[in-house]
Amino acid sequence: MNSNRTIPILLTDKGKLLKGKKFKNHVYCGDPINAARVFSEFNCSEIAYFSRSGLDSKTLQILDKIVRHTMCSFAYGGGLCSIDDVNTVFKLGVEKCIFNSIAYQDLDLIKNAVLRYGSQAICVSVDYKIFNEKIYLYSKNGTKLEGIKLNEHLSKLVDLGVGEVILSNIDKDGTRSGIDLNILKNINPIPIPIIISGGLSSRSELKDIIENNQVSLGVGHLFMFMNNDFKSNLLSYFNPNFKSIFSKYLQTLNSYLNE
Amino acid sequence: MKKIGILNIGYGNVNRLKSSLQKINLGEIVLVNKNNLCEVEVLFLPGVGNFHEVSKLYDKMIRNYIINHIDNGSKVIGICVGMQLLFSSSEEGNGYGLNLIDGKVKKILGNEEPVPNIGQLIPIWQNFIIPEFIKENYYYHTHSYYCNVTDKNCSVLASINYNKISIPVIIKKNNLLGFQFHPELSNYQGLALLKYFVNE
Repeated sequence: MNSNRTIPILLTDKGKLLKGKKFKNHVYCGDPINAARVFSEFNCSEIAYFSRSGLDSKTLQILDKIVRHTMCSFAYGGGLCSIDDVNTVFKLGVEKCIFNSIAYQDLDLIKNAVLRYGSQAICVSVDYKIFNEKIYLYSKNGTKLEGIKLNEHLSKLVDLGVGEVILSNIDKDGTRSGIDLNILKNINPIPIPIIISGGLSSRSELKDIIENNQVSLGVGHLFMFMNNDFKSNLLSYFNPNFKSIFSKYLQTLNSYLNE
Repeated sequence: MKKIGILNIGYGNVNRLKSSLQKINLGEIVLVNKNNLCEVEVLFLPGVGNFHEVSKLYDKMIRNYIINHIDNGSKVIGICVGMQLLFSSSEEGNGYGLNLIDGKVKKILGNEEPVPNIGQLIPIWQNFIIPEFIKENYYYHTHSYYCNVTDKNCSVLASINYNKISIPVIIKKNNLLGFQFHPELSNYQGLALLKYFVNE
């Protein structure tokens, strides 16, 4: 059975929902709590939330509200530098932590988080660029070049017990120029789920990828804007696997729940 | 209206479960901890955690509390690692479970599909009368381990096939219930499922 997910990605800064192009030129897109609620109402299986400003007090308030107002799995990434940060986030009721920059520096933190919360709750996001067919990894919101090779990094993460990885192509982000599916051919097989993100162009591309590969998709721009611009702000969601079932029973479910 | 307790002893997505239960309005919800070991009609053992680490939080006091509830005929519902805790041991570390159901918690092996299993799946139900809109629906799974049930008194109400293993996802033994998936993360159908089994 195909359980590939399409995961809306919410990027925020001090509680403001943003969307950028190639990790730059961010445009304000509204309220992340509202967006998370809308995606949850669309029956999505999972939402990923990234905070560029880390775990500031505004972000903590928002996470708490999102947990209370949504009915799907919720993953948080941004500024997780210590086990205390991780504990804080899980205590709010978040189901998954996403690490990025710290995964190049403090492998013990990742290991401890896996030991405490289980592999399924720990995800690492890996941002990359491609120059002359070579893959380069970046941390700190795409600003710091890391020396390690992608395959080496991934095998380290798998050894630590990380439950899944998100591979994001920085140069594709927000461009709708088609997803970098080739990245799957460039990595050695790993036993954990892989999510790729950056550049998804259309629903038909999404459907094609989800139905023909064992991979989940992180989706930003396509679920946030109607057209290939940064003006036509409209939240939408699509997963070809679930559509018919969910709409078939929605009314019956609602009346049963309101009985 | 029922009095529903959620075990809140330092692990799990307690806030999430609480808000899901509040949405379906089945009764008063209390968070149960060592300072508040009150009697409830339905007790939830929440999910999200590592078996070994979580088992350490179930000390003698908590274990007695749970066992008293089962003896009194209250319903005990374990979700994910909370369900796995109903067994005696797990391949995820060497902690001790509650040993209420015979069997072992095993790692999902095989490489056909990725492990952990993360995503929404429709379980295969075993001759069990339940409304179609609950039965034929997707539930959110996220786990690397599964319960291999050997207990003759424990019935598997639903399962999934993953990496050629038949994985029980809803189990029932008298007043004990276990969900391997997360109904609290499965949108409206998850809420409906919670409502059905709490009221059952």
